[in-house]
Amino acid sequence: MVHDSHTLALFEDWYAAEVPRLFNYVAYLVRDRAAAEDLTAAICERALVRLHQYDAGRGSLEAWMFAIARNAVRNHWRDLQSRPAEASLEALPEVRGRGGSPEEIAERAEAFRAVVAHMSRLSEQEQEIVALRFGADVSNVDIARVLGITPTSVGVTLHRALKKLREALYTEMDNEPA
Amino acid sequence: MNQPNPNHKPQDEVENILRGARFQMSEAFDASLRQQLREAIPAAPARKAPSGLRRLFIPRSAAPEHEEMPMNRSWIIGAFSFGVVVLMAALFVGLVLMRPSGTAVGPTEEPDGMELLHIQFDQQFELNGYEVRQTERSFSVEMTWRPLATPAKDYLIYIHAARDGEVIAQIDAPLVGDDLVSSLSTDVNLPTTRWQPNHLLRSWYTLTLGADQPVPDVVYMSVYDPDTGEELHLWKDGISLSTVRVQLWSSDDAQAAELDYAECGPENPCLSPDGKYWLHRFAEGETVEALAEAYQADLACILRENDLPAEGYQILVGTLLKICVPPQPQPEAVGGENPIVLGNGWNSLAMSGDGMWVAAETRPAPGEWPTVYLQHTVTGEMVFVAYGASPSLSEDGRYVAFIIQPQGGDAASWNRTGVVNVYDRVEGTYSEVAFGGGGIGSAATPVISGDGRYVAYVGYGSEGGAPQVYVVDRETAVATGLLYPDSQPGETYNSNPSISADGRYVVFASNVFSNPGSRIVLYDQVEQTTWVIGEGFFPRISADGSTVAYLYSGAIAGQGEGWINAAALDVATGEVRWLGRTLDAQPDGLWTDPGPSPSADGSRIAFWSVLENPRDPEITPPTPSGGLGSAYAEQYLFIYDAATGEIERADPPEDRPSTGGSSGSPVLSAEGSRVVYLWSDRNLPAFGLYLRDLEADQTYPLYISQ
Repeated sequence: MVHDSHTLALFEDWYAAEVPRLFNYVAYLVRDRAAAEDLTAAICERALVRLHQYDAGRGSLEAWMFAIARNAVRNHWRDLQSRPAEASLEALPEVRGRGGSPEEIAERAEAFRAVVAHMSRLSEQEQEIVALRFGADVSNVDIARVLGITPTSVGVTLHRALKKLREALYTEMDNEPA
Repeated sequence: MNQPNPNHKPQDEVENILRGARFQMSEAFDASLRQQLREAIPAAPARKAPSGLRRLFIPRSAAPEHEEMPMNRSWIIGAFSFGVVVLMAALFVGLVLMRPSGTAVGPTEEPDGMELLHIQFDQQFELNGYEVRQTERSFSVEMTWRPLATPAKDYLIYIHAARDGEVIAQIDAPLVGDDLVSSLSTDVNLPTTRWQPNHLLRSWYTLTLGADQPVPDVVYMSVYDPDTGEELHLWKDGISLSTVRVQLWSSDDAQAAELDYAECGPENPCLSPDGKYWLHRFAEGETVEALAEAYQADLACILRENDLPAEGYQILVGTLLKICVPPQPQPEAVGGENPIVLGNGWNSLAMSGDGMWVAAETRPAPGEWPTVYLQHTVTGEMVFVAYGASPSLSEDGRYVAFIIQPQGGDAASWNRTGVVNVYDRVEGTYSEVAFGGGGIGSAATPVISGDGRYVAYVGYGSEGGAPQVYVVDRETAVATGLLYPDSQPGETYNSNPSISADGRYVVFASNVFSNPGSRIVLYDQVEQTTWVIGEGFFPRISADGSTVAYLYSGAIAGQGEGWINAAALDVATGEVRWLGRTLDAQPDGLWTDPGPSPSADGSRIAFWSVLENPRDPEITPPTPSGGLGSAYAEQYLFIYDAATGEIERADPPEDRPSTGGSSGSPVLSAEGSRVVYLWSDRNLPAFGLYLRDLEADQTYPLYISQ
C-alpha cells in the first residue's frame, strides 16, 4: 500500500479551512482555552465519525457540522451546570487581531477581548448566534437552520445581542477610574 | 447601488470589533491535532482517491499560517485512533457519494421498498455502500463493509444475475475484504472471521456473462452461512427486513438512466426536474469548454456545479453534467437602460412574507416612466426589476408580479394598466401572465400568491366596460373571472384584489351599480364559492386566509357619520373586530393608499389613521373642506395586536424633522415583526421609505429622497 498524497492534500485543505473557525466558534461560547481545545477535538471526531449521516439534501455541510458543534457546547454547559460567567481574560484563548501594523493588531485584539468578556450577559441563543456569525462566519440562513428558527429571528436576535454588548462595553468604560 | 443605513452606527462599532480579531488555536494544540490526524491517515491502495472526498473537503479561503513548532503537549483522543476514524469515515463517505452516472448504479430501493445503504447482516456486519460498473458482458461490484463485531464464521457471498426469475450467471465465493484501516500489507482478502469491529473493509467481485447469455433483468447479492446454506437475516435501522437479498442493479433503472437526457443537447436543452440546470449526458470526444460554448453557458459555473477543478479533471463518458442556464435577457425598456433612479414618490409598496425584500414602484420625475425595484431590507441591495408599476411579492421575495410599462405611449398619462409580468429574482427571468380569457384588454394591480403560483388582477375589457377581477393559475394559464354573487359582467365595478398565500382565497372590492356602496367579496377557489363578507373597500387577506383586514365604510354606533374605520374579519366565524378610525371622509377617486395590512395569521394588523388616537371616543369628524377628502393633514401608523386588542404607534421615523408628516401604505411581514411604510414630511417635498422592526424597536430608512 502507498500513501495517497491527493487524499492527504484534500484533508489538509479541509483542516486549514474548517478547524480554525470551528475553534473560534467554540471559544466564543466557552471562553476558556483548555475547554475550547478539548471540545474542538471532540467535535471533529464526532462530526467525521457521523459523516455518513450527513444528507446534502437537507442543508449545507457547514450547517450540519455546526449543529454538532452546538450540541457539544450545550452538553458542556450542562456538565458545568451553568454557562460560563464573565470571562477571566487570562483564561481566554489566544486572540489575534487583524490589521497591518503591530499596534493595530494589538488594539483590535484588546478590544475584542473586552467585548467577548461580556458575552455572559447575553441569553443562550444570543450567544450562539453571535458565535456562529462572528466566530464561524456562518450565514444567517445557515444559522437559522442550525438553530431551527427563521432568518428574520436571527437578524433580530443578533441586533439585540450587539446592542447589549455595546451597552456593557460602554458601561464598563464609564466606570473605569480616570 | 446600496444605501447606507444611518441608524446602524451603534451596533456597527461592536460588529467592527468582533470582525477585527478572532480566537486562535495555540500553535501547540494546532500542531498536535494536525500531526495526530496526519499520522493516522493510513496508506491507501493504489487507486484514485474517491471523488466524494472532494465534496467533503471543500476548500475555503486560506487559513492563517501557523508556524511549525515542536509538539510540547501530547493529546490522547480515545481508544480508537482519532485520525483513523476521521479518514476512514471520509473514505467510505467518498465511496458512498461517488455515483458516476452513465454506468449503471444500484437502485435506491428494492421493489418492496428496502433501502440499500447501511443494511446489517444478522447484526454482525453492515453493508455501507456499493457501486456497480457494468460493461457489455460483466458486472463489477465494489462494496464497503463495517463489522459491528468480529463475525463468528467465514461467511460466503453469492451474486446472481437473473432474467425472468431465472439465474443466468452467478458468483459463489467467500466474503472477503481489504481492511482499510490496517497498515499491514497482508490485511487484504480477509475472511469474515478476521474482520475487526469498525474496521472498514472493501470487497470487489466481478460477475461475467457468457457470450450467449442475455442481459439480465436484475443483479442481487446475499451472504449466507457456509454450514446451513441459510442467508443471513437483514436489518435496517433496527427493523427486521422481509428479504434476504440486496438488489444491486436492474435493467429498468439502467434503461431509464440511459434514456433520460440521452437526446438532450445544445439545440434541444433539457431542464433538470428541479428546473435549476440543463442536463447533458457527456459523450466521447466532448469537452466541457466546448459544451459551455455550445450552450452559451458559463464555464466556471459548470465546473463549480459539477465539482470539477479548473483543470486536470476527467469525466466518465455517460456522466450527467449540470449546465448552468444563462440568465435570460430583460425585456427591452424605453430608453434602453435599466437604472434604479428613485424619485420623490412611491405609488405601490410590497414586502415579502419573510420581511427580507421590499418591492416598490417609484416615479423618478413627473412625466417619466415609473420603475419597479426590489430592495433587501438588511443588506440594502437593490435590484432593478423593470419600467412598470404596482409590484406584488411572493412569500420569499422571489417572484414579483407587476404591470410592465407598455411599448410606446405617454409616460405622463399612463394609468398603470397593461400586461401583467412576473419577474423571477433568482433566475433573473420574466414571464408574461396570459390573460387566459377572451375580451381582456389590459390589467392592473396584480397580486401574487405566497407560493408564486397564482396571480389575481383587475382586468379591463378590450372594448371598455367595468373592470372585473381575475385569478390566473400560472401553471395552467387558466384564468377565472370573479364576480359579485349573482351578478353579470358589466353590472359591478370590481377592484383591489388580494390573495392568500396558497392562492385559495381571493378578496376584492365590488360596487354594484344598482345598489351603490362598496362591498368586500371573498372567492374560494377550492369550494368555487363567492360570497359577500361586509361593507368596505381595500381588503387584504392574511396569508393563511383566516382574516380579511379592510376599510369599513358602514356606520358604527357612537361614532357619528363619516368615519371610515379599519376592521378585521374572521373568515371562519364572520366576527368583525374594530381596529380604529382611519379617515374622516370617503376616499375620493385619487386615493391610492391601500387598506390595513395583516400578518400571515391575522394576529397583527398595520393600518394608518388621520387621528393620533384612532380610538378616542370624543373625536367627531370635522366638516371636510372642499367636499371629498380628509380635513386632516397627517396620517399616523398603528399596529393592532389581536392578543391584547390594543393598538400601538409605529411611527414617526426618528430621523425625520419634528414638523411632522404622514405615514402610509404599510405592509406587515408574515410574522408581524416588521412593517415597511412610506413617510412624507409635512411641507417638505421629501419622501422616505422606512422599515420598522417592531421587536428590535428600531426604524431603518430604506431610502430617503432629497
